[in-house]
Amino acid sequence: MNDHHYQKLLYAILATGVVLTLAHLIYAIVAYQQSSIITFIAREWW
Amino acid sequence: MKKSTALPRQLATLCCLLSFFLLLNFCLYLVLTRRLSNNFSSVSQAKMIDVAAYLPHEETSDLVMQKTDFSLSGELPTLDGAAALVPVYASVIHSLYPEGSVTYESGQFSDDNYYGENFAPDSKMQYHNTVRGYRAIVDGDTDIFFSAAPSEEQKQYAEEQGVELVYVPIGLEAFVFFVNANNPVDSLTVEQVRSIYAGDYTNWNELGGIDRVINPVTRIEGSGSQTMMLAFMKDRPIAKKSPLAFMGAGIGHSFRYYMNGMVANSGVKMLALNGILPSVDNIKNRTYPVVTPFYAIYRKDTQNPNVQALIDWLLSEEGQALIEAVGYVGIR
Repeated sequence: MNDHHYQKLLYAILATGVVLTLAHLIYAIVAYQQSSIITFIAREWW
Repeated sequence: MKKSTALPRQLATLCCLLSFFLLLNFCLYLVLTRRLSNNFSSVSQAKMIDVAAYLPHEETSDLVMQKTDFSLSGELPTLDGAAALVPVYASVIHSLYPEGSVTYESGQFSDDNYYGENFAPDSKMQYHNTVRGYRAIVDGDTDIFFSAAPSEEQKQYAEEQGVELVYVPIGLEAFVFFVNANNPVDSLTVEQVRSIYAGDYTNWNELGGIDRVINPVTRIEGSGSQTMMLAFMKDRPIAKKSPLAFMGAGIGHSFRYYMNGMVANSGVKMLALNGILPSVDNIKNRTYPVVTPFYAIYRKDTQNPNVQALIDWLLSEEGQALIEAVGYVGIR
């Protein structure tokens, strides 16, 4: 893999990862505000 | 030679980066996303209720049919209420109102919307829940509203509109606190719960539990449960919690029947307060520390004589029997 291709791939993965993580975070925050607290507590990690 | 060492390093870097994002999102999913119910789904509206289970005059409904000789003639009052009281007022309609008095937009029930209902404007059953419901009774859109006590803002809205509301206690309910079923803590004192929400306790190990951050969860402003919570706290303000508290172990508040009878999630358990569980008997004899009435609320200037007649019936032996058959505790 030449450097040019490698950098393109690196930035593509980085950009996709950041965008998807941000989208996941925004979804989680919005859904948290709308969510049932009973379900939220019932599904805690124990 | 240079190429042969560069390629594995490049691939390793790309794999590490990919793994980092996958791991990050997986962790986010485990601690947060997995626990969020989809509130817009008609099936998992644990926050609200499954209104379809409480439709009057439907064979599949989970309602009480109270035998009575009492009947209403003329203009039937439009009934509305908080989520936790839908089984009560829907059972009243089921027992006293003729078939056809509950109508739907587009002709049939559909729960394909945010609040899970599509009652037509002329339907004698409405479901606005607490925040919208107080507005609806003040605005004259409904005749009797079944709810817990109003918030200061709701009282103020009635005052601003020049409307006097009459609050008639018709039953008793316990204000309860709950935690995950696996939380080893089973009982707290009233003062300990207040101190949790005031921010004095931040870890369960200060209360005999395991070493885990406490996540004191509150509800939306104006909801019956949150209004009750503010009253429960007396003069102690609810502290702002850490933004990372959601990763800890939660404590929430609600009303007993809503939790036990309507949502009934086996993943949570109600706490005893001062060592007393919120059972029907402990509500009746008022040994549970936080017992509160719920009300049938109407406008004092109502012109509909059936409003008072219906409330008198609710306070009668038959009306109280209906309330108890639903699962609540009567006021008498």
